[in-house]
Amino acid sequence: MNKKKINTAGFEVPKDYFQNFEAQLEQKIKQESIIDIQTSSNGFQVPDNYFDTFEKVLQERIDEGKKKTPIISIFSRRNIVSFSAIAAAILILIMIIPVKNGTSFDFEKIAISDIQEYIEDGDVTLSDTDIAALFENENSLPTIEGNLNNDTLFEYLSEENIENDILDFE
Amino acid sequence: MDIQEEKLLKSLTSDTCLNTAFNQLVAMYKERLYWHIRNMVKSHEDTNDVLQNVFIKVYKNIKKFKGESKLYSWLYRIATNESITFLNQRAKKYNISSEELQLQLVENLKADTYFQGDEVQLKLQQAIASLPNKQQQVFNMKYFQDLKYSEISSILETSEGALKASYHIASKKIEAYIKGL
Repeated sequence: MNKKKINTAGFEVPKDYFQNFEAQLEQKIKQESIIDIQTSSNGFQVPDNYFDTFEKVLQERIDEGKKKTPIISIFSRRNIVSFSAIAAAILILIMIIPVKNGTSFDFEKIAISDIQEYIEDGDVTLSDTDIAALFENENSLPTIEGNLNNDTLFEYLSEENIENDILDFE
Repeated sequence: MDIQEEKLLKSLTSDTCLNTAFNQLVAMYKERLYWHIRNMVKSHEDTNDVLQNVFIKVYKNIKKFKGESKLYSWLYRIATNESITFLNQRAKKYNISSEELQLQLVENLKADTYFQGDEVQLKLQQAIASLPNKQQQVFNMKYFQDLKYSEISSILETSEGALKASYHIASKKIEAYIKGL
């Protein structure tokens, strides 16, 4: 169809009106009858090749999920070796303990310093009552016979260095 | 259930054909489910996560599908439920209501690289976000995905009459929202 010369009959249109008409019309349609437009174009976009690579990514995730929950047989060679090692270790321990306890033991052979160290380290806790009980029937405690004069007492105290014992007791 | 769907379902329940049939299923439905989820969760990254979860769930449960409903409606139902679960979790995480979350999601679109909608499209999203959840779902499925009422009915398990009413009400609310701006 050839473009005909339109008689405007003196009427004028704003500058560039026809050039911008489509854009204006489109905007108008969107605003006025937006509900009637059936379109899937809602402004959302998807990264390039997203749908092309989706299956691959999904498969990787499925495989990953399978790896996370592997079914391992309790009778696998690795487990048997581990369990055998643990069992052997327990057996050796059981064997060692009675042998150690069974060795001849003599209190006489223990040095006094070792016992003191043992007690000082806190490995044995004895209350005053426990100690008193030990001496309940003890007759071996030294008894003071006769009159104890002041000179003898001072001599004893100076020799025994009783200050440390008092401080320890406190 | 048509013959093609029946054949696909048979392959999906067979151990030997499962992987091939599953790939076929993914190829058939990935885009449709993507847009279904995208309209609900809005961002591409979240949609991608939900979509993958949907297909993983389908993969794990395909043998439990008895064929009582159509395959597509079963898939759409899983996608809908996964999206709702995702949105609820997100709302709980941020300690906000689902309505506040909807508005927040639309607000995020302004800075979203994968949203190139114009002002009108953004207003439309804001209007949709102001609707109750059920009306949003119906509107998105009808308006953006152009699903039939019978299809939406089988997905949402709601009568066609109720869906038509929901869509009508949703349309009116959106129209009023946009004109009121």
